[in-house]
Amino acid sequence: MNRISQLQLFAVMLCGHAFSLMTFFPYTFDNPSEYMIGVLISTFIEIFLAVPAVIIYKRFEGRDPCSLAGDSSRALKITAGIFYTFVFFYFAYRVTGNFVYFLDSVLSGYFPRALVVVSVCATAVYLGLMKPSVIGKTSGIMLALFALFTVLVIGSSFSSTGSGFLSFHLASENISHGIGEAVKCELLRNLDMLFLLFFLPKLKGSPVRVSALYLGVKLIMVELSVGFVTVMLGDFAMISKLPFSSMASYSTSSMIERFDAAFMAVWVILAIVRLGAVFHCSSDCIQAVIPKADRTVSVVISAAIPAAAAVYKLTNYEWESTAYDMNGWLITVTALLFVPLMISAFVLLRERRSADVRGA
Amino acid sequence: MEKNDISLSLQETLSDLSKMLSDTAELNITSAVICGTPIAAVSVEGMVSTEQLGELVLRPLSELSASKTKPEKHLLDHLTENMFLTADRQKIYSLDSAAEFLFSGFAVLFAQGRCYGCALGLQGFEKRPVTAAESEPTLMCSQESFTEAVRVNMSLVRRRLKSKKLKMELLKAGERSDTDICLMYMTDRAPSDIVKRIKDELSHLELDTVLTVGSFQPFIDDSYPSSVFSAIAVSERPDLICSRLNEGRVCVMIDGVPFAMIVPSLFAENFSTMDDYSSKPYYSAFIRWIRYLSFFLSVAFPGLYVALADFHPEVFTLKLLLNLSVAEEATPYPLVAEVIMLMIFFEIMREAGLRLPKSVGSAVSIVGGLIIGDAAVKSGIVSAPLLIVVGITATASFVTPPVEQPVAVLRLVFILAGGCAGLYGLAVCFAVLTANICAMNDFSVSYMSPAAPLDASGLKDVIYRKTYREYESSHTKLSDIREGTHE
Repeated sequence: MNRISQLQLFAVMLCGHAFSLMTFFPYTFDNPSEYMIGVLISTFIEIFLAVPAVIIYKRFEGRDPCSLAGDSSRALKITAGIFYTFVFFYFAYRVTGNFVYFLDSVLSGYFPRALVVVSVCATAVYLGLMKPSVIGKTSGIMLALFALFTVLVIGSSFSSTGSGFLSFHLASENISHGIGEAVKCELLRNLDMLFLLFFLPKLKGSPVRVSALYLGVKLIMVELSVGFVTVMLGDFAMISKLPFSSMASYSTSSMIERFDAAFMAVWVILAIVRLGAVFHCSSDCIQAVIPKADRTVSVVISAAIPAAAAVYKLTNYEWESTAYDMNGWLITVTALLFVPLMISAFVLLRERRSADVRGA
Repeated sequence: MEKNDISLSLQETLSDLSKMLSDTAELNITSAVICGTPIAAVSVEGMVSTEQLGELVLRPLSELSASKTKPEKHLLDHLTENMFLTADRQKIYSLDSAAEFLFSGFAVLFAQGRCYGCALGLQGFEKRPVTAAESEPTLMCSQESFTEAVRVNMSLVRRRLKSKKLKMELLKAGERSDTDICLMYMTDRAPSDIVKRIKDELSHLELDTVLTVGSFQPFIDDSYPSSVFSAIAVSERPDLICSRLNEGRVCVMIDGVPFAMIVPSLFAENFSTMDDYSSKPYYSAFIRWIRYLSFFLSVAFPGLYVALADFHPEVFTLKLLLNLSVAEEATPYPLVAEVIMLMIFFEIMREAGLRLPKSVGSAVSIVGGLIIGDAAVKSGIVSAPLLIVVGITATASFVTPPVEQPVAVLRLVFILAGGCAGLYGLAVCFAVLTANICAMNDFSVSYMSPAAPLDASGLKDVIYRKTYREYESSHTKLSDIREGTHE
């Protein structure tokens, strides 16, 4: 019950990415084609980001980075714990803020933003308090729901594509710059790979399979979705908020056209799953720093601090710049690649020293 | 070792027994001197069959008295060792055991000069006959249902499942009620840790009485306090119990309760009936999906209506929207208040129909459904479309009786959520509910199995009904869906 299966972890990660996908497409480039190429390149880079998880799994019997750091020294464990806590805070801050900001486009008149933050965070805290397998099972069901709705909207919109294929063009002032920006954006939006590292100790199976499945399906999902939205909406795809809802409202099926709000509901559910997983992992990091910290308290802290920061930014109407700011990609690379590799190196060094001392 | 407190003196034994039972009025003591030995047959009024007592015990004793040959042994030794009397016969050495047997429908023989008694199974208490299942009726399956007598229920199961692997254990629970509890399982399929856990819980049960399934359920259902659903199903159908036993479940029956508990059960099982296995798979699959839809409607339809009408009116076509708008304009209360009012009224009617005698129950539905409903619309308190929504919801809720309790509460939660925040509120509620159900993992069996965790083979039986040829090749077993070790 405490362990998460390969498929469940895959579902958690894909739900997180599906939320990003349904929220908005980053419009820092001139056309969707640049973004699609960027996604392809970023997926190849992400293969390398999965390497530390595989190394930890094979060499250190699947430990999370914080507890692995503890093998080297207590100081390193605390440092790693603090680092990853802040990474997860940043992750939660972005998800919460984006969620509330983009929800405005469908629910603005009725609900104060602070109340939306409280309600969504409270629900995610409930999920975050659950065992990994529960988060995995919930994600699996939500992913099935997302897949069903995606098939529905794509199927119903297919006939209205017309000459939309002309929207795939590479008319751009600086293609390489555009693609580079797309790679960075996609890397930032792929913070979900952190779940691979932090659910590693509880994983029933191999991280190699999970990451391969995730990266493969994610690539297909993003490319297909961006492709369809582009065909439907043209260059407008890149500036549309909640592109799936927009796509639904363009559907030729009067049923799907009217039910674009249902896509909002699916998007809300995906946000809750993603936040729940973030809070769960974040509380693990807090417990690595403060071992005596209660699980409930650490999950609540994981939700409260990023939510408070997001509310502050949102109430000051400064979120749009944060939402579309994609400079945080370095955090993804550091948290997924450099820090785990450094921790592994420290631990290996210590093991070698101990072996030398024993040999002497 | 049992304490021997039966006296050699018959008078003293009878007096001690009577005193121990607080001189209860229902104690019948028939004394006589047979072949020179004073002997007494003790029974409890209404618990033994007087006909059997006379025919099987008193008559042979009288014949023995009348015959000229006197038994070589002591009379009680002779009776217990050389005569059949009844099929169920046990020697007892304490008054406590005597009381236990007496209250279970045995007659007990005591004799002068012997410090033991002989309990004879002559149960003849009044019990309800085996009747058709009322809460789980079927069209093409067995019409028998359990009764209050646990031994009758055991025979109903045994008749259908003659396997040598089926084990029935009789245990006691309830410090004062001393209720018979029957534990049933297939020795080769039921996980031993589940059986052990139930036995442990039963042996540590400190309740005075065990009179309903609900009194034992919380002790074995880990998710009892944290979920609206229950991982322990209850059924009054012997055929269903046999089917579950064959899958490796453990069933618990309580004497005096015409239902058996199935440990553990799955969410998907709430939507299947025994009739599904009598019809062709295509029809079973169709009717199963109707049940899934009914469950969805009974939980979410009123909430969805409120959410869409209040927050997302663009969903409705213009004609329908105008009709709804006109109907709602005429009513004095907000839509959400109207729906809650009607749903609570529906629950009142349902409860009234349930508690009243059947003959009056139908009158309640006529008064409630037709007269009050019609008057409420005509007087403008509620709108006519809303009455349709509530009517559909109520009808849908009758399709899935096993989940009617959680559904009644969840429906109100969904209405409130839909009324407060539209589809956003419903989505939040749905996420919480899904997480809550997914967290149910009693006895290492996920309540959402085989959907989560995904078991493709098991899922076939949820999406459609497998054919018997498929069952032939792979029987559904509990061990297939159990997750690792029990945590």
